Amino acid sequence: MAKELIVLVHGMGDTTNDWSAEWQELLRDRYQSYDVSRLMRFDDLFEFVEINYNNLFDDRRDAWKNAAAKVIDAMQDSGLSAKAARTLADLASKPADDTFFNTHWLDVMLYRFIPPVAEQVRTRVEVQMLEALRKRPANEVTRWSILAHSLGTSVTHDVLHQMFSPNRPAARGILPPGVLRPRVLMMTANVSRLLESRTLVSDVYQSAVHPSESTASGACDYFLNVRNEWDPIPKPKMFRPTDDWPDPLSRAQDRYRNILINSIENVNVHDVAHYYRNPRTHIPLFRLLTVPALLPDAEASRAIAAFDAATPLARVAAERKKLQKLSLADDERDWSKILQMLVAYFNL
Amino acid sequence: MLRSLRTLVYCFLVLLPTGRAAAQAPDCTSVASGVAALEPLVQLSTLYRVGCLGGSRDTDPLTVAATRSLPEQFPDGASKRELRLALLSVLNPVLEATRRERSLHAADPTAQELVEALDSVVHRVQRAAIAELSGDELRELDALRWSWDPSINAFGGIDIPIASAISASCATPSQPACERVVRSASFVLRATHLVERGLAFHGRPFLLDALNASSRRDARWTAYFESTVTQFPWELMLNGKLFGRTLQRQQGFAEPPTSQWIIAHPVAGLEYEPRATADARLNPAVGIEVLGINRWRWSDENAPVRAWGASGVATYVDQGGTDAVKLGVLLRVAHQYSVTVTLRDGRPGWMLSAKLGEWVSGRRDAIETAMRLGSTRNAELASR
Repeated sequence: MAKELIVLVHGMGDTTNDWSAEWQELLRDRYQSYDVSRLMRFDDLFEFVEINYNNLFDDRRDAWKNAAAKVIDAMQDSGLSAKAARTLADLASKPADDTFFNTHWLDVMLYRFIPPVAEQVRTRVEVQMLEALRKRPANEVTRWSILAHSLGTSVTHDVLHQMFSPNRPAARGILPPGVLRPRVLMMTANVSRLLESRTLVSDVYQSAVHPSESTASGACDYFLNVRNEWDPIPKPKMFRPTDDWPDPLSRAQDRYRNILINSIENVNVHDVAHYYRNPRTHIPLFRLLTVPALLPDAEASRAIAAFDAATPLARVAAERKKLQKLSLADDERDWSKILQMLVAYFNL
Repeated sequence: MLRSLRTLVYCFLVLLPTGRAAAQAPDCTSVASGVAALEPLVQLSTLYRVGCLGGSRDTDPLTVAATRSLPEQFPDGASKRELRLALLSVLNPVLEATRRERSLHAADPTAQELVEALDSVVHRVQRAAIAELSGDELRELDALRWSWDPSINAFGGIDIPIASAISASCATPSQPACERVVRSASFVLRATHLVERGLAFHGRPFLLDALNASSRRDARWTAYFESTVTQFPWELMLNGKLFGRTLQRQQGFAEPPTSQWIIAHPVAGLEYEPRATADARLNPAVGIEVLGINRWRWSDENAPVRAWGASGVATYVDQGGTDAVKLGVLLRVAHQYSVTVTLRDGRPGWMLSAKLGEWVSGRRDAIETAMRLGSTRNAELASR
């Protein structure tokens, strides 16, 4: 069969083209440390597709800055003080400053609270995914899987819901799950429930994005939900379905897997590399992408033990205390507390 | 020695073409020898996964015959008939090979059961293809149902009990019964993967139609943000709220808007003083569109055309060193061309958008130049 596509979807941040190079290198490197790579060479089997949408947030900030600049220039040229206009123009240009809030948190705010921006992002991501599939040889079967991180989990959830929902209008082109759905959906630091919106689907557990043993429904064959216990960001309004979600048969086939890790290599536990360096994260993925029996339990245990032995426990004890202080309740919904936590976390 | 013999036997059984003997790609052989010590099902799953059973690495005559009519590039505008014929071109050799395989295993009920099950489902797909049923109408046409999943040792949606057959027959892998079932299973995996390839080709229009539609929407969203009036953050919040309601009403599926509200929108323009000299006719000016609307339609080329808008405006003018405010009405076309008419002390004032100002200035200069040239020409003619 043709190479399997591994689609990478970024989270918030100042990402530009080639943002995923480090993530790709990490996955390739970790895969090659296992015996399965001798039978199934990574580059023979897999090809990465990098999804970009951060530029759409940057475009909004640039547009405000440019429009405000025209007004300010006109005021300077004319000698008018026009206080009200000046105030509005200054307000409009503030988001364009390259502060951490603007380049990171504003992305989340724009996606969550400005539906036209969100819809543009979803459309752009859908185009990139479908275009990547279109480029594959038509006479081969193209398997694809999606790895999403942080804000990318919300974007990916929403895109897949729109792609595979039974309510998808015919004018958008029907996408039967049994023809096109991805094999593995791996959601790392999953904030899809935190950022769920009534404008799309009010409850992510009821959306089309669930694994299914049936090819007639569902947005993936397997759904891996990965969270680091010490990562405060996916904790509020945590994605934590009931034991029979989405249905007992799919669950019996282990199509939904919750992977909870708790290692701390450094304080940046939310970082995607921090997640994927951990064998508990990447081994289940590699098994699903290849043949599970080729990465046996004994080899997996050795890899995990080696990783655990290399974690600087003593060094991070102090950092663990800081993170404990930030941890909110599992069902915390108070946005002021959530925002305070986020600001405090990034000031660590 | 026993292990080497087993490897040799295994390679022979699994990789032996169903038709005349043909050399397999070396890498499939090395993969097979690499997994020879593992359980038969793991061996088969590995070969399947790397494309040695019906996949791109497989040079088996059945694979070659079945994929001969499947082009790598999907033909533009392929008709349903062409898609159906392409699918049948895969199914027919598979069914032919299945008939041969059935006669080979007539004496082995377990192996025969696998091949019979395969024959039954492939025939269902063939009947569906001939009857021109679509993927919506018959789930057998879903390619993923034919995909072998090593995680559960089963297919996505067809019931061919490979795992149980191998389990039942391969208590000892070198037994003849095990070897026959493994051979049947490898044939089934090859055949099902070929059917999956045919179905993936047949289902390609779904992907292309969706991509066309999403590309169109993407172009419109780009135009919404870049070709209409730039929305400041508070305007985006309000227009966003309204769009959000539309989205919610339409269950999360809505097209890009065809209008935008304009609120407290600071504008830079050019105050137009027709009685001033040419170099003082257009002067920078500032205003605020207090409340207005801009509307358009989407063209077939996904551009926001036939745009028009109107707003209530407050403009600022320098009056003896202080700002004076003039109220007026702004009329806009094509998003960027607007004229504001204000009234203060009974006197009308004009503010043009930068684009319109450029256009007016350019046209007036051109007219005056033409008039000067005309006057000069007339004078020359008169003097002859």
